[in-house]
Amino acid sequence: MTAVQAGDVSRLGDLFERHHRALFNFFLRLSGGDRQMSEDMVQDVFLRMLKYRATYRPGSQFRTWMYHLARNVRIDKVRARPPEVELDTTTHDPPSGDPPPGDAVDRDQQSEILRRALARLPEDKRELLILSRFQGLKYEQVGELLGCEVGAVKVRVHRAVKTLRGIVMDLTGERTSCSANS
Amino acid sequence: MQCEQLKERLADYWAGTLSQADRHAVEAHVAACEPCRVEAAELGETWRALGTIADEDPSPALESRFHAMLDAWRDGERAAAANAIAASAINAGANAGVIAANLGDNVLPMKPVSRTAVVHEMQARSSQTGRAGFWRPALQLAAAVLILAGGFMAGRGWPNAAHQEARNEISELRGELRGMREMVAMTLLQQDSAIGRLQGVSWSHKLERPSDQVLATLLETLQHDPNVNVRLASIDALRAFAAQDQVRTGLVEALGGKQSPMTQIALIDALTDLRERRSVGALRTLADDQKQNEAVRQRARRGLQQLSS
Repeated sequence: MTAVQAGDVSRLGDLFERHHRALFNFFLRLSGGDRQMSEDMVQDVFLRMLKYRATYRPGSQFRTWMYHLARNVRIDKVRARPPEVELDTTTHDPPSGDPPPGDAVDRDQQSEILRRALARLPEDKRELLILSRFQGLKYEQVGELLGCEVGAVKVRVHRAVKTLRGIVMDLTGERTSCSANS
Repeated sequence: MQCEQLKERLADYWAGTLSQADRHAVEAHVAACEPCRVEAAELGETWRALGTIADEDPSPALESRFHAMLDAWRDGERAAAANAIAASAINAGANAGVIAANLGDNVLPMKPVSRTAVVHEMQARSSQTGRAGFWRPALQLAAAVLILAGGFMAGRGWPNAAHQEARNEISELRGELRGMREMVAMTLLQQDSAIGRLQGVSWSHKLERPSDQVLATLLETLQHDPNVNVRLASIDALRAFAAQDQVRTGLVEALGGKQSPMTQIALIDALTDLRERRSVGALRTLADDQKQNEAVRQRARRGLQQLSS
């Protein structure tokens, strides 16, 4: 990023190669599966990297800065979007090709249930879990992004997983004492 | 360890970021506390299960769009730099002219103030120092004239050269912009979503002289796009480029192919307006085909009348 900042904007291509897939999946999970909007937002993040490159502090964590831009892109996108648009919680199409073996079918079903459960989580909890579980950010980085103490992040992660577990139980009709007692 | 403390440690436990001592403390607590053991097991299972959600790949169009954006950004920077150079060259040329003019004014007064005085001075110096002394003021005068002329040329010529360079740059940028628009149109025309493809058709309208590739993609869209609105929009776009023979041929072929009644009517109207006589065969077939939609047959008959009039 420092090379881009110094004027070698072609180096943004390297950053795109390295991070666009992670960013795409970040937006995809946050939006509940809207691929088109997720791609638009990835593009917007890289455009903002160029526009706001002066705000990157050399030596600081690039990924934290990148997700800071990504969160702002999403906030702007959600604001600009009509409020009646709801999250896509429908079942995703199975991947094409040969049918998966038995274990893979179970895993796909489990993934699908979790995907739907994630989509039903309140936005703040969903974002917290996505950042810490899928995007590979450390709790300190998540705290920096969300503007809270690292201890609070850990407690909130615990609560988010607990809420997610409850939604999974609801979806599968197996609500247990864990979520019932919470 | 208390049950509340465990809740604070579980996130670290799942992420594998606990020290060995803290890890043992967590495990010791859950072994001794039944509610915490159940909760830790269930939530840990959910945390691990999240790992089964695989990442998805974005469409290849994302990369194309990124590079188009990056190229456009670089073009914009180059254009800004070219403008800055042109502006500074114009200023520099003008300044050179002024400086040279001043030099021309100042060189003479440094020596004798009038022509008579110059002659006197030359004569005096000639008598003192010979021919070399005679040439000195003449050389100075010639140098002043040359610098003055150079200043004027620089003042006028340099900006012209800079303008020419800027014009070349702008022409080059226009070419690149045209290429970028084409690429955006092509990328959008290949989108999964109908809205994206409609945008692609709309982008193709912005092209003054679309390439054969764009025209071929528009014709492909007309023939095979699953969405009727996209097909109808492609007809409107293609009409704008009807001066090209491949467009007219494509429209005639599309009329002869399998189309929905709405698309057929739009095609009949387009080909009739363009007075494309090669469509007569397809129009006759439509008009005579009793299996066709009645509105399509009527429009085909009317088209035939218009083309024969």
